[in-house]
Amino acid sequence: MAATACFIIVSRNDIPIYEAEVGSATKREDAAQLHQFILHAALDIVQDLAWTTSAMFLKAIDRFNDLVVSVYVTAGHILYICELSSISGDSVDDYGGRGAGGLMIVNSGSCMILLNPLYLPGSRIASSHFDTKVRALARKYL
Amino acid sequence: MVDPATTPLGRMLLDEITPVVMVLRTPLVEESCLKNGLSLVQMLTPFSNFNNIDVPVRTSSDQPYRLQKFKLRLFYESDIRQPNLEIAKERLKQVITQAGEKDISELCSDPPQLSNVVSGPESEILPSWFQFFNKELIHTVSFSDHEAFDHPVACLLVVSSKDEKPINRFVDLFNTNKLPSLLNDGAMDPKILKHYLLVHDNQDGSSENSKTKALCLKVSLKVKRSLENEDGGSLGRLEASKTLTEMRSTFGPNECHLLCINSSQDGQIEHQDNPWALDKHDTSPSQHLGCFLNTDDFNEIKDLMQELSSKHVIPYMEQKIRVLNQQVSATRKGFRNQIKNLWWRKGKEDTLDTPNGPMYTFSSIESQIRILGDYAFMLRDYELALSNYRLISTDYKIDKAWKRYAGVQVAFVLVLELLSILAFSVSFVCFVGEVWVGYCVVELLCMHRPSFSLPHPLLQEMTGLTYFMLDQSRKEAEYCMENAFSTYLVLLHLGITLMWLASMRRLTGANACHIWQIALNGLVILASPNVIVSDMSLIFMQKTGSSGQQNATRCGLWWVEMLKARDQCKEAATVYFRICGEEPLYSAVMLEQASYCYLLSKPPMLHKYGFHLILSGDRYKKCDQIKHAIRTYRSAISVYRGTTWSHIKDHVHFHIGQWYAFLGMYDVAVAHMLEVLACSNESKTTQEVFLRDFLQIVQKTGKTFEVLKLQLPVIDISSLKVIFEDHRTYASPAAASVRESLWCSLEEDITPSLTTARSNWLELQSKVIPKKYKESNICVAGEAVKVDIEFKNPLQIPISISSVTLICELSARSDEMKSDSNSSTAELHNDEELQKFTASKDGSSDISSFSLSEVDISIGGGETMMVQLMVTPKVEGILNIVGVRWKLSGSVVGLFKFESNPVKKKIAKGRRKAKYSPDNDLKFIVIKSLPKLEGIIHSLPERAYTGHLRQLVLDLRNQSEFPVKNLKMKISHPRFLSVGMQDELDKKFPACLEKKTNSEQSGADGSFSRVPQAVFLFPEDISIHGETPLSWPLWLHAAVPGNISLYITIYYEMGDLSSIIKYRTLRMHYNLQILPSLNVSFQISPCPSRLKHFLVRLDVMNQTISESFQIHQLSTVGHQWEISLLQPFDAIFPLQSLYAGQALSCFFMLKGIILSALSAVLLAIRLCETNCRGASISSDKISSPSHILGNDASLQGSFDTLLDVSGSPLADFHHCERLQQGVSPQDEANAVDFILISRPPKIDTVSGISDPQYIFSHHACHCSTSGTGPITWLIDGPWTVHHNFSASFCEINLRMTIYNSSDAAVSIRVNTFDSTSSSGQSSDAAALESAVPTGNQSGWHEVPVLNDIKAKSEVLGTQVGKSSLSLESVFPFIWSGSSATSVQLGPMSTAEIPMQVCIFSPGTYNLSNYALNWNLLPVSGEGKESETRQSSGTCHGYPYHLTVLQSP
Repeated sequence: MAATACFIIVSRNDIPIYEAEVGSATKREDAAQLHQFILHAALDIVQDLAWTTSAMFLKAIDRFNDLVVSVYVTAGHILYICELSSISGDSVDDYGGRGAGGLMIVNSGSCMILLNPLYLPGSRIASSHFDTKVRALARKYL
Repeated sequence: MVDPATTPLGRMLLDEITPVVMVLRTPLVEESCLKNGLSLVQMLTPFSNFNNIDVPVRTSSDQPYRLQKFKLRLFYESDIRQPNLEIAKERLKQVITQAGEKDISELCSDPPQLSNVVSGPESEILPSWFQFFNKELIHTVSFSDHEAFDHPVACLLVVSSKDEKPINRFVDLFNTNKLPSLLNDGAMDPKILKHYLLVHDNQDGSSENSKTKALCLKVSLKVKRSLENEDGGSLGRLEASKTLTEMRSTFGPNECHLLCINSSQDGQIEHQDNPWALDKHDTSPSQHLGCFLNTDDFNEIKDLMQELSSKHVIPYMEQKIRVLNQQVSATRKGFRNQIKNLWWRKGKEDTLDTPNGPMYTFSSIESQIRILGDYAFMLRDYELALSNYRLISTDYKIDKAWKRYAGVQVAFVLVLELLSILAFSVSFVCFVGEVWVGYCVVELLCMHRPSFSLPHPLLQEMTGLTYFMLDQSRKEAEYCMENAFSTYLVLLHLGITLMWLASMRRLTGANACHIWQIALNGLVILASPNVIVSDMSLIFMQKTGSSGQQNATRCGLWWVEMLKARDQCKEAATVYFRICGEEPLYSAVMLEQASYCYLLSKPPMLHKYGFHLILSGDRYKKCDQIKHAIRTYRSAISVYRGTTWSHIKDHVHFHIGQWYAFLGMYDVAVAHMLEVLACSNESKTTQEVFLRDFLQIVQKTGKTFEVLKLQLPVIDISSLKVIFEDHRTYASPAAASVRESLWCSLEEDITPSLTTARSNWLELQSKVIPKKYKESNICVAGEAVKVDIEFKNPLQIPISISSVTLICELSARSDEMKSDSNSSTAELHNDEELQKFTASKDGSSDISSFSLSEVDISIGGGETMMVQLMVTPKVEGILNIVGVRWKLSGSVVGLFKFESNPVKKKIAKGRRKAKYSPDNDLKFIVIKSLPKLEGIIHSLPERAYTGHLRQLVLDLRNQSEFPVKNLKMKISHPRFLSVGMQDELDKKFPACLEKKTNSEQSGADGSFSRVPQAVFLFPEDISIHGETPLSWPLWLHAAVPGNISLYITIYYEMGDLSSIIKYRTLRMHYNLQILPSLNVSFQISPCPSRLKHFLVRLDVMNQTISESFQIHQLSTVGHQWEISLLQPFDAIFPLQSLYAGQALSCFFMLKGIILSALSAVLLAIRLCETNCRGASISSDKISSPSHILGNDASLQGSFDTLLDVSGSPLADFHHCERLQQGVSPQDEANAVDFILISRPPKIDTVSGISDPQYIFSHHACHCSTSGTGPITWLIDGPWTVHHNFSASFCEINLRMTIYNSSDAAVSIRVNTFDSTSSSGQSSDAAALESAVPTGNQSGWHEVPVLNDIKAKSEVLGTQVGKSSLSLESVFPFIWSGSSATSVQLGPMSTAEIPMQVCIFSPGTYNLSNYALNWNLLPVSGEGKESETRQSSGTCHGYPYHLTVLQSP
């Protein structure tokens, strides 16, 4: 079971358009920065890996200490990056299946926002409805 | 394929893995050498490195090869031991600190651009001190006892010729007590190659005659050299040669040498390229290294070392390799040996039972294989080395198999036994681990960590390196390195656990079984990496742990170099990352190196680069290496520049800012802190910290910062709004915010055409105003230019901003003229402007030419605040609004330049004047001061009820001395606001509205010429100036509910013709909210009994929530109608007021006055106090179509006089209403207009509040009376007739008067029916129904005709029914005469038709069974119009009751 996770949607040109800290762990003071640093650093790996595989869900592509980064890459190269911590060794695999499912649902939700003609590409997703949906999914799938 | 020797790793290995020569010397030798500023080893070292030694070597194979590069490493015996960790650490720290101090100058510069970093060469990116650091780090693990290449190959014993009894000294030197532990504890063979050297200092001897001595020495040296060459001569200097001979006889002829040094007497010898300069950087330049050594000495040393290596060390190693190889081959190679080895190894178990002493001494076969491998490596025979490493690897595999067989438990307990004796040294763990602990525990570990397969780390390491040097089997090499590395780490962890276990055992004294249990538990815990951080292990780390770490580090560094040599930078970076252990300083350096690896990888992994830089910087900070921390963060900024990852950006800038502040570089610190100020996404506490630290740093600098584009608060440039007044002036800010086009359209017909006006004054001023400002805005000296701008606080905490002012520059007109006349000086002028700008920033220098307003505000978290700033120019010239400045929290001054933002150009002033180029939006030509009107409308309510009518006063003022004239005024909504007469001001409201007596009225007739007009012209003699304001009455009428914007513009001309602007306009804007009050509706139905009489039903409903109204009067407008109440009003409505929600209906009689008959007479019906019907007639000439006369019915049993609906302003407003509600001229004649006047309830006089100054008037226009078609008729005849029916039937003559109210000719046919059959009746009713026009007009309620007809027919039916009943089927009367009469009736004309009816019996008869069919005759040329109107119809007769009595 993941104690804490950070979920972020990165649009093209490495612009984060949505961020959420989900999970039950108590927040550290610098958690937000650390998560951003780790996820940002993982982009290198994603860029390498995304073009070499046909899979959309890239499981545990990068890790920093006990934080594991998994990515769901859409065809339009919008990245759904999920960072989990405190996964004991074997549950990464379990998480893989569930995580992919969860991220797929999130994708369908965010598509509605991204396809909105009034949405400016690269701007933040500020919809509170989307936010609650993501958090609900996180509770369900993590 | 890259030659491994050319790579950094190759060079490093060739440098480091070379034979070691142990140097033993007496203090006197050292003393002699120190004269040159060098120790013995230092003196010899440069000469022990051979680039081209060219020695043939033959090792195991028969084929000799030649060795080109060779190196000997010289160490004193005291240095041949593992270096003290603490000292090593301290030294490394110094290295780092020094490196940090060096590039302090760079810290101030701007961070590098990422593109430059990526494209730059590797050498520029990597700090040079890394290599040095890595070397030092590797040296910390030299001379460990488990690897042979640090073991001395040879021993050089040096004795000075001054020593007493040199031979004894030589023997004493090789005293076992002094020798390093390696030799003493048997880890290596104590019988090593020995070489004896006698050093003679030529400066020694008799000091009295040094010159002759030197001479002697030279001679003797030559002799000695010749003697040496002759190998065994007996000449030479007495003592030295004597000793030499003695040595030779003692130690053997080839092992002894004589070295003479310090031949130069004066010590002034300068060496061209000093060989020691490279090694000793830190000596003072005054002392020349080797100053006493002349060329001969040089050559002598060189020869000595050459000989030592080529004739002694290398042959010795060859020899040893051959011997060992033979041994190994004999015991271990070949099938027989392998089998034997298996058995032999198995049998070895017995010997293991003695746990005393190390398992592998120099004589053990495993050690020998190891030595063999290492020696082969050093002599560059890599094939041999590899085969031996492989061989020993096989041993381990065999051992592993054996371990499996022997069982794990026994071995483990054994290990614990060993541990308790051998005091937990990691070297032990590493060494013993080779066979014993290694495999059994690693095997245990493998149960938990399946990834670890193979064992001895060092061996793996060496194998890997060998593979690398051979440049083959890349994968194999990496595999070995990986294994070695991880095993080192495992062993480190293992050491910790064992330490822990052992201490546990000591404390508890538990038995082996118990320990086994604990061990298992410990290993389970060990499987998770977090265990390291426990108290026990921390202690352990301090003692020995880092040594294991060092081994791993060295292995890692080699591995990294290997990977780098193969361009696998990414993997190298991962290894660097794994090297970094607990020690923050080392890991910081390692992480930094890792980051550069990421940068150098292809393609560069910039994200990782940045991240590792940050990690490294963080660790540098932890060890107080702030400069390094800043350096790494600065590099990271280049990665994160322009990113939207806000937390990252904030983190980097905040920390780097803090550190700069720590170093006292406040300017740079502030620059970085500025970046994080607008951190809207951070938590509240973080924002507080950021702001607090920022302000602290600023305070420390002790000066006020001026920051261009300060982020706090955020300025919304799109909100920028400039309000200035040229010829357009505004009475209020609200007026200024109205669209310009609206004003333009309003002013269209009162101002002179804009373009012509401008061209006029521009032509006038063309010489004065430079070309480029022709299109500029104009403002007037002494009048403020206002700028509205929005400040937004992005933080959650409140911020205080003070001294918000505009930055302006005002250059005098004369300057502009110069610059215009001579374009070449334009730039110069710009400089001047710039100076002026800076001067104006100081605040007071330009104070005379313009004045600025200053605002202090405090913006709460997340709030947005609109601030209005003003600049008032005082002199003529060019005013330029440059930007805005403010002070944040009293310490930082923020500047914001409007020009710099391109967004502004689109929005800011486009609406004001589109044709202006946006650059000039904030540039104004200041002209000399002008008169300016200020206007205000007094007592204009913001909210009113519909119908509200009151008098307002317009107040106009002109502050200037110069008069203004030719005032004109235009009002956007004349329906709501109209202009009154000046004399109305004096009259009391509502007295001015009241009906006047005839005489007054005739006197006021002149006012009737004033009709509501588009433009109101003030009397020409009015001019306003100085202190005398002009007041003018206005009338407000709230015509319809809703929000109404009233725009009033007043045009005036300057009295002073010389001014640039000829006229100005004053624009006023008011908003009025009008609520619904009374809902008034009228219903008109023709009176059946009278021609041109109508019944009017008035429905009034109070729609307000709380207001109450007093209905005052109902007036008809025009001369055609007179109106009267049917009933006394008190009877209908005893209450005085109509309260909220209440409704009232009352009936009026409306009588039309036929024009032709009463053209000169006007009727007014007036109720007197007794509510008797009365009439008063007023007469007037009809002077204009809008001239309204009234006819009123008072609805108030009051003492009040009626109001004059025909006077101003009621008539004016009514005219507007008429226009508004739509006029159709055709209906003019049949339409009637009503005005209902009500007033607020009278307030008790007791309360003392005066009467409210307003009334309500509701206007209903065009209420049509022509409900039944164009014709009305009346049957006239006797009501009662006496007749003697016994004589004859009764013939009665009737007269029908028909009036055509339409403007077209009508043909009418009167049909009479003698039977009133029900069917006929109904069809007629239907026809009637259809004849009713269905026009919907406002205020006009549809009359439900059917009901009326039903009522009629009921009456009719009973009547008819009765008569038919009594008279059976015989109809009681018949129409006589023609049954159908046709008549043509012209427009507005009357015709009379005679009618006759025959009655056969007495009774009362209803003579309504007739119908009028009318048909509009089409008028030529009006065909179209007639289509829209109903062209024909049928009207049924009214009941006319005739009573016929039997005459007596």
